Amino acid sequence: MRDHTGGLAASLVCTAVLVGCSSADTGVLGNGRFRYVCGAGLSDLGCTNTSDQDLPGAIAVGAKFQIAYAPNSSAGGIVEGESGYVIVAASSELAATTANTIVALRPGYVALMAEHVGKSTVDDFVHLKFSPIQTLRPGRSSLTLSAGEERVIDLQPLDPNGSPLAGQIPCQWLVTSGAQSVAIDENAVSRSETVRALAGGTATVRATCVNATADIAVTVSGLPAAGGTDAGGTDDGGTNG
Amino acid sequence: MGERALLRLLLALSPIMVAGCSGIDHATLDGVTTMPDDSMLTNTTGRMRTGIAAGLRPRVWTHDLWGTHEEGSGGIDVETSNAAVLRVAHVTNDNRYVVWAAAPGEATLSVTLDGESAMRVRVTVTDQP
Repeated sequence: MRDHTGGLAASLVCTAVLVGCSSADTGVLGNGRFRYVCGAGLSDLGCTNTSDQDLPGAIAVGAKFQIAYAPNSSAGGIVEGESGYVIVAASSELAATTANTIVALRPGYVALMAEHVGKSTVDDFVHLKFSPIQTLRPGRSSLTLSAGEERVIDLQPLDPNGSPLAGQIPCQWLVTSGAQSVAIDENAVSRSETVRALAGGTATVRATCVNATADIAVTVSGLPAAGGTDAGGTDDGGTNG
Repeated sequence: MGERALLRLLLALSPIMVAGCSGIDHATLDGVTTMPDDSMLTNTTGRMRTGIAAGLRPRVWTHDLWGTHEEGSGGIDVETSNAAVLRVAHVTNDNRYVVWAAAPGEATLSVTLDGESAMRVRVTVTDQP
């Protein structure tokens, strides 16, 4: 049975027999149900918690994600413990699949198929849409903190129509100005980052996720760092590329 | 030649006559599933974008001296001439198939009955817009 709490341990290979499923994620052939695996939790905008969820409308190009499949109990006579299913993409040009994870490589629709392990047959399939990140929308375009305070910045990747995109997007975070005033974990790779206020002044934190960029202005109240003047940061946070 | 001799000759030739008048009548790709973009697959041609898949059920009819009959799914198969471009798989425990476009190019989708070609559809696969 698939592990719903084990994060990345949640596998694309599943043998669960699902009963009473909704039609929302039913495969095109009607033989089973596809679910969006949310083991990584809120680092994926397609997830509101760590439970498997409905398939998202679109996934960001460059993002990784996981899909699980469970056949209808009446469709294939598959019993728990029998060999399961592996999710494969119709084209390696659009999606790269490894044992547990799919990476969206290019914009467009791609069929993900539940292949029956050991039979070389397809049980069902579903189409997902990949869209490029047009904009990174910060939860806050600017922050005002007191020295010693911490705050988390979240980014929302949006497609060219302004719709949110699912998937775990790789991001890089940098303090581009005012490094005396704030500190971040520059090794962070998700769409969330914790900003820690060090000393009075202004700073700019820049996030780059795939091909999009956002600047977040941070103002720290309190005494400036001893012996240094703040380089100052832009005050118009939320500039996106 | 007497009547009995003529009757014997006709009886001897009847299997050949029946065989000569029987064979594959026509085939169809039935129940082609909806594709999310401008991809299409019909009984005569196909145009699919890379990454798109479609489900379908191949049907074959044969004819003989007694008329036209639809064949059971047992001897029917669906094949591709170029698996690098167009791939085909049988649906688990079902008489349907899934066809998907793996890479740009051209391939011929063939429906066969006991190994004999019943239908050929030329499919062109192009990149997503």
